[in-house]
Amino acid sequence: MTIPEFTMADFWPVIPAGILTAAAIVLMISEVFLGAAASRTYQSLLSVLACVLAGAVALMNMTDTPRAVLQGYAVMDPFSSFLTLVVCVGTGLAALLAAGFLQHRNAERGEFYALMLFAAAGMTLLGLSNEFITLFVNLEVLSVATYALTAWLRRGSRPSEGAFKYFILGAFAAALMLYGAALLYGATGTTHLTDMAAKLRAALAETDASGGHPKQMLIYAGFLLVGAGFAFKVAAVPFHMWTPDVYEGAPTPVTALMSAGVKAAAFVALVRVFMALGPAVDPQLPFIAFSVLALLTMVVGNLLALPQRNVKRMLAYSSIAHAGYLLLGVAALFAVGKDAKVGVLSSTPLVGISGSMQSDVYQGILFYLLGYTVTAIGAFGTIVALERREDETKGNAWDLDRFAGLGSRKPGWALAMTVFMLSLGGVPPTVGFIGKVLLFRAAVDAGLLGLSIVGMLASAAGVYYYLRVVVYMYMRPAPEGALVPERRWTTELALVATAAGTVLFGVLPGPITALLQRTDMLFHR
Amino acid sequence: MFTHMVSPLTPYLPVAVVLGLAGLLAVLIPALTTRLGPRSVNEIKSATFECGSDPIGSARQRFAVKFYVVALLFIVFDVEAVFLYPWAVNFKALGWFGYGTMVAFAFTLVMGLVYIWKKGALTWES
Amino acid sequence: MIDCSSFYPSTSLADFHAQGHGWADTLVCRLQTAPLPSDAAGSHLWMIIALPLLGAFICGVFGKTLGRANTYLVACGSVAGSFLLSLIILWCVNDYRTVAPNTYGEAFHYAVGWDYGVWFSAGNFRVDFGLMADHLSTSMLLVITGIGFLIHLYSTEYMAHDDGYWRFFAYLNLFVAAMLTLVLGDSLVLLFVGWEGVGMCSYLLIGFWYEDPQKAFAGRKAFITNRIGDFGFLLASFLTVATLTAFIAQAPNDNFSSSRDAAGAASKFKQGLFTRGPLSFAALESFAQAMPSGTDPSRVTLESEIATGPLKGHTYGHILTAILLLFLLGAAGKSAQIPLYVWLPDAMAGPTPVSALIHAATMVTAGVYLFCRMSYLVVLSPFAMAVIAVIGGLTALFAALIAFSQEDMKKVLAYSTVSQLGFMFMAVGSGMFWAAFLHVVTHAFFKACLFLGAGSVMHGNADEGNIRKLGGLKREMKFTWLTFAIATCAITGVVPLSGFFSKDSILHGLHTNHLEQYPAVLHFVWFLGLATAACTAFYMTRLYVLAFEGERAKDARVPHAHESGPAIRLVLGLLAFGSVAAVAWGVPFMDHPSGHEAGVQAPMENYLWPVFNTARQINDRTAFVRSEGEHGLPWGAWGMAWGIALVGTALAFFLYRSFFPARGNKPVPALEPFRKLSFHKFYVDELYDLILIRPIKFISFIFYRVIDAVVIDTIGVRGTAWLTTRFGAMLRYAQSGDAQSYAAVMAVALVAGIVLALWGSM
Repeated sequence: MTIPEFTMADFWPVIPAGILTAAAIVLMISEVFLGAAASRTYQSLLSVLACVLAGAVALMNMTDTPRAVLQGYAVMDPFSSFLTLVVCVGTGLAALLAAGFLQHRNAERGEFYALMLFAAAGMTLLGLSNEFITLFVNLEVLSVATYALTAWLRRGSRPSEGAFKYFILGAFAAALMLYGAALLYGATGTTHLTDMAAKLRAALAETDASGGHPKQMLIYAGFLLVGAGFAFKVAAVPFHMWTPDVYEGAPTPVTALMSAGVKAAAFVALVRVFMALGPAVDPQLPFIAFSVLALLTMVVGNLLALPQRNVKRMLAYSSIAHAGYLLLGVAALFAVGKDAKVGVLSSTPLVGISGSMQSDVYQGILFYLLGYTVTAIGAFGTIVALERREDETKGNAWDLDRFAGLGSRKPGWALAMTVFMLSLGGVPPTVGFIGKVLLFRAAVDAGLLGLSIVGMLASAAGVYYYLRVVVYMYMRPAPEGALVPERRWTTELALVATAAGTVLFGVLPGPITALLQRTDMLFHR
Repeated sequence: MFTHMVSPLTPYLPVAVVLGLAGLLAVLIPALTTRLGPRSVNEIKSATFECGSDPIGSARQRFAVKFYVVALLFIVFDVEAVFLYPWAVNFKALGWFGYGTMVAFAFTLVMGLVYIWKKGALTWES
Repeated sequence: MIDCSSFYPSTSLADFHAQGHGWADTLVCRLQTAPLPSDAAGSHLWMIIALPLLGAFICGVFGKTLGRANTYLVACGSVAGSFLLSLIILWCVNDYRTVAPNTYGEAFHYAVGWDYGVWFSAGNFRVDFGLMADHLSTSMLLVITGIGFLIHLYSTEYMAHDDGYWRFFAYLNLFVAAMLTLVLGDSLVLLFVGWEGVGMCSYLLIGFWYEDPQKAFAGRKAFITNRIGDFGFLLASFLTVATLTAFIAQAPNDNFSSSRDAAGAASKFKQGLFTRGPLSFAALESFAQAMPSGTDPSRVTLESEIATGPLKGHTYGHILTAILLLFLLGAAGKSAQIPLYVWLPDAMAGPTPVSALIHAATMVTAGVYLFCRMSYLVVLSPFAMAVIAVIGGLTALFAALIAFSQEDMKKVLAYSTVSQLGFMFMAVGSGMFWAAFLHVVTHAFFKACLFLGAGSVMHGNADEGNIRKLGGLKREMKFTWLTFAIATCAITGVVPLSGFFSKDSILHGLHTNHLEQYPAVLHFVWFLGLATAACTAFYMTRLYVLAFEGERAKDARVPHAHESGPAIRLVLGLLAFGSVAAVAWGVPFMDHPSGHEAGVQAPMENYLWPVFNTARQINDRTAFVRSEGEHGLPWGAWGMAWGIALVGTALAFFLYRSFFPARGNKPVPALEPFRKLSFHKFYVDELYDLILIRPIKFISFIFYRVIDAVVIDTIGVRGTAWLTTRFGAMLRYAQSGDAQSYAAVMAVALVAGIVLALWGSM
């Protein structure tokens, strides 16, 4: 029997996850030794520290040579390292938000942060999994942790309802994905993504006596099922139905983490799986599938957000819409060129994707993920700052009226929220604008003109509901007897950091884009 | 002459046989027991399970959640223990690398144990 | 000249003396040796801008909490710090090691500069964030920070009773930072950032007392008028990029062969353009150097047609003229020239220190600075030069005529500023860039002194600015009177004061220079200049006489004026001293360093020699401007100029001291139509209102009522919004909250996908 030879080079990519897990264990164990009244501020700070450390390691990994590690079960490439960075940024900020949020509700416990960090570890590992079982396990690690986090507050029916729906539907989606992976395994006899691509090609070429391709159906069904599993996680229409209920029910910091981290990790894994396996099948299939998903998600997400008066729910729909823009980028990765039989909404002949364009798309996707993470966490952070526990069960805790007159009551918060809304709407000089420019430019270059125009129109419609918040903050008088929420330094620190990041990366995107401008973003063998 | 055609379903024939047999037995055994066995009906014997909850009646019965907690924990630790087995078998071949891995694994497990212990999940009375 | 090359750092002091140098030489060389190497100075240029910016931040955000004294300290301290840094930069620029290492290579070897890296780029186009200080910008630096500091100091007393003091100082500091950016930027883009920044601060400060709608309106007028100019500036910049891009593609190597090997020079230029961007001054200078006149088949000349790009088919010369005229539009907006001068008199609504700093000493000279900075482009287009000179001349005379009858002290000074700026434009148009700049510097001193004097008068007379209601201040405000009189002499052109030499060098240049293709133009402008000089003397004397001489008016707001406090007096004294001392820049007594031209030159000309050397070389080649150099000092011209000034002064003295008072201050019927015309500013505002503003208002009314309100708003925007919202609301019904139906939707979608895939793959 052969014993695998592992060196330190194999472990670098998983070190961030190790740091996060270790911190989670420390938090969990230390919690049980604390009295009920003990101060727990250290917990959020420790989580932030762990995220900073893990993020630093991820940043170091960015410059390392892309390679397969741990016997090909995982890869180390800038794509996954950057995801780790994004996840760490998101988790750290969410942990900061959580401190004030939980203290206000007398619900701050070490397990909360531990679960957050476990989820974060799952996310980072999901990004670098290169094998279906690893991928599935990591997906479950992050999912189970988020199910539990969703139900953290057991007040009123919303948290339990949200968590239960999330769990049931999540299990459903996970089952679909597992089933799809099993079908692909059945067709190829391997679970390694890199091996699978070659074997898929062979399996597709197999003919039976009557000249048909017996494994074709199997493979296509497998692809679709895996795709459906991912579509659930990234909340793509029509697999999005859970999102508003869950986002609304979950504690707001958790919602922030879900909208940013979980989505980013799922996107990275999605790109990895489909970029590895896609070339083996007819490229038309993933192209059409992702184009349709992108189209539906962009349009429906924005349309559904339009009538919302509940800001938290509006942000949930907005997160769906943003997934749509990202899916546009994914679709661009599979743009097939002139011989396309079907092009969704493409009025011009498709140009198809080339190597350099591909790296542009990766750059766009990753930059967008970072920008969206920072902005969305900031936006949810403002909600954290504003909401009061007394209103939670009433259902109007996040109504637009809560924002009325914020410009005069809390000018700092209102300014930050304005920045986030502008960024979500894609207005310069914010990071959201740069992200959209990069993403849409890459898509247009690949020939997805029609789809990009629809995306831009949809995002223009989106500006309406983002600006409505701004209008309420500055142009509506504060309601009579509006309570001034108490200030908490951790929340404000997170707000300042996100607002500064949103503007800074919007004005000076150079360092980030330079970091992402690499030809070997995604590791292939 | 007729050509020998292999139906695509041929490999699944044994499965069909097993399915058939299972169906047959499912019908046969209850039928035989009701026909052949002597019956002495009393309250305890007519209960579905001789322990646990009553199958008939309100589903909203209250019972100690600890029961489930302990069962869950048992399963968790039991399954984790299964991982120790292959390592123990290949202890020599796996060497220090295997040892290190297992220490990390066991450490995490122990941490979990400490956690549930301190949390009071293992104390029955409270 | 002393050769300092052996002084530092190679040899010791003893060796230096052994070479036959004495202690005096050592001192001179010591003074010519900057305390720090110029690359170190260059890399810290940003601090000059950052200090006032930080000051603006502190004053604006914490000013209210910090209290008055601390805010004053921060505001004045930051500008003073910038002033000290500027002095060090001045020292570095004047270092005897003229070929100082900097990031500019061949071009601007005399400048201290630093490139902080790419600011933004798109394809081949890029803009670097680079700062540069050469002789021109250093002089501006000293004016901005030096006079700026004095005016900050003055404001501490002037604004002592205003509650918005923190806002005021924040804006003022912000203005200084923006103006410094304008001057230090090494590309048109950064210059434009400063250009817009000073425009914004000017707007904020004009409308500083925004409770008064008239003052807020004046701010808006200034802003909108400047927008028109900025439009020209932007168009000119775009044209510049297009021209340079076309030139690179088209020019053969021969274009660059004047001094060194052609291919090397060509690639160097193209490289330079790529690395520093087509809007950097370094690229513009090399472009101007590589652009010959006439027709030459082996090169691209001003007569050649552009072969590629959007400007295809036009000649380079025409495009260059268009660029310069568009820049002229921009400069006319900022520097208040015809036709965009109307905002400056209204800008006097702001606090007086603002008028002194922004609307007299610094911001309004930005247009002159722009043309001096691009002197090498200006000399390539004689037509543009002629237009600039004529515009300057007409503005100067026109504004002076309006100033005749204005009754508000600050209004007179405002029109005087417009008129003096016209002088500077005349100088630019005649190719006398150094003279234009000399006038910028001297004008900064005496006009700041005049404005602050007017401010002091208003301060001491309960904000009364009408000269008819003042009078007799000579006795009541002795110090203000003294400084005001000195500054009046300076602007009038009394001989030993600075204004005489700067103005006279302009008139002298107009007299001796001729545009080869438009021989009569500069002569005509010269006459305009002489007339303006006479008018200047007249209206300034009138202002002085009415306000300071004679008896105190009966309808004065307060019976007795009070003299201002120590801060105001100190600043007035220093500025009056400056308007005398600046004469040292203007007296022609130095030899020409190159032996290039006969005669003597003023120190300012000598000092700015490296900056305008390129323009001079280009003109030597093209011979667009011909100069009939006079030998020796121009005694005749001086005499004439002085005579004109004396006549104007004497006339005003006679009229307002004896003639009008004798008639009981009743208007003379013969002059009444002219007085009315002048008093109503020749009805230019009304004319603009009639031919521009009303039609535009009418058209915009149509657009607003019909096209915007009905077509776009109701049908387009509201209709679309209504439709989308309806649609969104309909989709909401799918969101039932029922987990089973959610799963069902997923399942249906999946089945549909599978069916599609199978159908597609069949």
